[in-house]
Amino acid sequence: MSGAAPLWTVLLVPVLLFAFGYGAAAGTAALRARAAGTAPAAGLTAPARESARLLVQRRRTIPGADTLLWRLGGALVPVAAVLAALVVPLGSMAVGDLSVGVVWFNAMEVVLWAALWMLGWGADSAWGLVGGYRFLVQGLSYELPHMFALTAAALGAGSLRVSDVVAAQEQVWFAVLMPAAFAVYLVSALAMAFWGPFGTPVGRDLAGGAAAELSGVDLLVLRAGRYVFLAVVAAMAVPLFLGGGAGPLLPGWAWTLVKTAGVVALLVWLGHRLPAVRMDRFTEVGWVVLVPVTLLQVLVVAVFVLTR
Amino acid sequence: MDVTGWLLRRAAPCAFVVTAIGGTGARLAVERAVRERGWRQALAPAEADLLVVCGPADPELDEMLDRVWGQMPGPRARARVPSPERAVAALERARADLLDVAAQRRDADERDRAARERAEAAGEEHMPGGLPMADRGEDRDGLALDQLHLALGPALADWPAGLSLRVVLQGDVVQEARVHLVGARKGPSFWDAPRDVPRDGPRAAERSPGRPWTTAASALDAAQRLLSVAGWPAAALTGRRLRDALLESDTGPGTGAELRRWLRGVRRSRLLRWATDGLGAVGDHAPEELRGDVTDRWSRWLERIETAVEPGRSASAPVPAPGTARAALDLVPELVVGRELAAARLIVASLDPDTEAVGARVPERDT
Repeated sequence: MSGAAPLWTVLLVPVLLFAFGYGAAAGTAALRARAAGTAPAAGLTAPARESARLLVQRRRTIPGADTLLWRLGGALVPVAAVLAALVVPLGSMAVGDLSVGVVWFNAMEVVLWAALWMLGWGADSAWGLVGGYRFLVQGLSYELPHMFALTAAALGAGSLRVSDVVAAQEQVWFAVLMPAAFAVYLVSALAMAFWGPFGTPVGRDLAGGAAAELSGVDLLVLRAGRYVFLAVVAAMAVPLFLGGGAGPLLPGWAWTLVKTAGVVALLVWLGHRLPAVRMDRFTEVGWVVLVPVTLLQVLVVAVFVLTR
Repeated sequence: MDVTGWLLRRAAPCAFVVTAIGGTGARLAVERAVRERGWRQALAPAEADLLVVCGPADPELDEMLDRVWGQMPGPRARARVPSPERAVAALERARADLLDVAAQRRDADERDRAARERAEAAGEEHMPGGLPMADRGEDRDGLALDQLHLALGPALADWPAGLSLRVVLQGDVVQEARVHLVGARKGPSFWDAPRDVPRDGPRAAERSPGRPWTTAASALDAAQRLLSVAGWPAAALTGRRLRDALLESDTGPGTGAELRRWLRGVRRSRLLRWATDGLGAVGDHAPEELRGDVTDRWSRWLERIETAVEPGRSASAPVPAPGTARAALDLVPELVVGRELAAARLIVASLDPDTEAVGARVPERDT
């Protein structure tokens, strides 16, 4: 039922990701506009208007900045997002259905660690540096639970190939079978995209943190990259936990899009409803609660697989 | 086709708002105008295209503002809003300046030339960027870490007017802190002074000091700032809108149901409590307003708002005791030292020193 798609579909990946990313940005802007008491409909064009502004804005040069790392850090964010999306199947077809697809996805996320640290470090700014520190702490807190959540899904399918994970959910979705792993995946999705309650590395209290010194097109690339990343982690939740393209009436690719849109909407809503999580406090939860919870989840899944 | 002009006209401006001591009224007007136009407020000069200065001019602040202005990438425009009624006109004028493509190009060329000349004059440099390296010092764990000297404020989003907190950071932990007020002046605090409203209008009597909804509006203003620092922009924006509605209303709060919903939402947020619990604890020696931890302080604001807008009970609205502002300012250094920056920001936002009520001279205090 699955396989590698023709090569031209590689062009479709950034287009779809961009569409979902724009949707997430517009949804956020619309919710913000409603909170501010202005017309929510204006939120739909807000990301386009902001992009227009940033396209005209000049880039900055900073004395003492490590310009190469600084610029590279921002540019890596959308690149990592698109690379991660290569293994996400649309319906039954993915651009690259690697035998280690889950590991590939995870590896591309970890590129973000380097990206944000380079971004914060390169700007030669105290705000940027603290923002970079914060993302590293965040990474240390969410990455292990996140990896165990991925492991649970891979274990349930007995394979690291994403299409096998989808095939293993023919009877029951992994979101039902392993709810703790799914919940942890959603939390770590927000943390990975450093967005919403986990947005402190570029937080308001740090005057923008790792992004404090960015302007113009550099800032546009980072912001767009962040929303695209949010779209990717939402899209990956579909094959891992929500049965991929399975569903009645509609074709597989349509179900994938509908489910992805649903997860994106959930993440956007959570980001709107929740205040920021202070990382020094979350670290404790990550290690003392989430790691054991996901380990237990993996144990339960392992027993289930063995007795099945 | 002039693509630059076309894009500029479609862009929603992003304003970096700096408030001088004595500029609270102007800030409220500016925040309101920015919000209603669907513009954004910048977190840092780098992303902004408008620099909006609220309140009276001050030599020390102006020198700092020039540096902020130099950090803005351009196209850029500058506006000074000395009083609330000038806010809308000043913002519109700044917007027009922003759209003047020819003038913006001249400004950019001028800056490029100046930068080239500076670079040539500097010649060979021994330090990266001509900047001194950070010195090392022992941190609380006995490690030798770089010491970064950073001034928080006065040009900082969601920060008390005119407050400059000079800190020494190691990693993201505050090691030393010193309070300095930029442009301190004698004069009434915005929240205590009678409002600038038409003398013959019906509002003149309603908005005199100590009136319940003025107290509520001041608490709402403090709360929205804390929520913003706590990384909850949606709740902060709603708080701002409700604050403006309270200040606007002639007959008291007309936003009852919505205000109550907002209060309930903020009060019930476990995440917010989790972020602020146990931070910046102040003992019983301090004025009542400041006692307890950050959570206690914002809970008190919410109570104050609730009491003030509740029909029938408005007469008993508590007003902060005189001297609270100074006590809050004095508490800042000792409470932020040893804290991580996020915690330090939350502590300052929860103390919310009304720098306009402190008076002219404040001696600098070390830790």
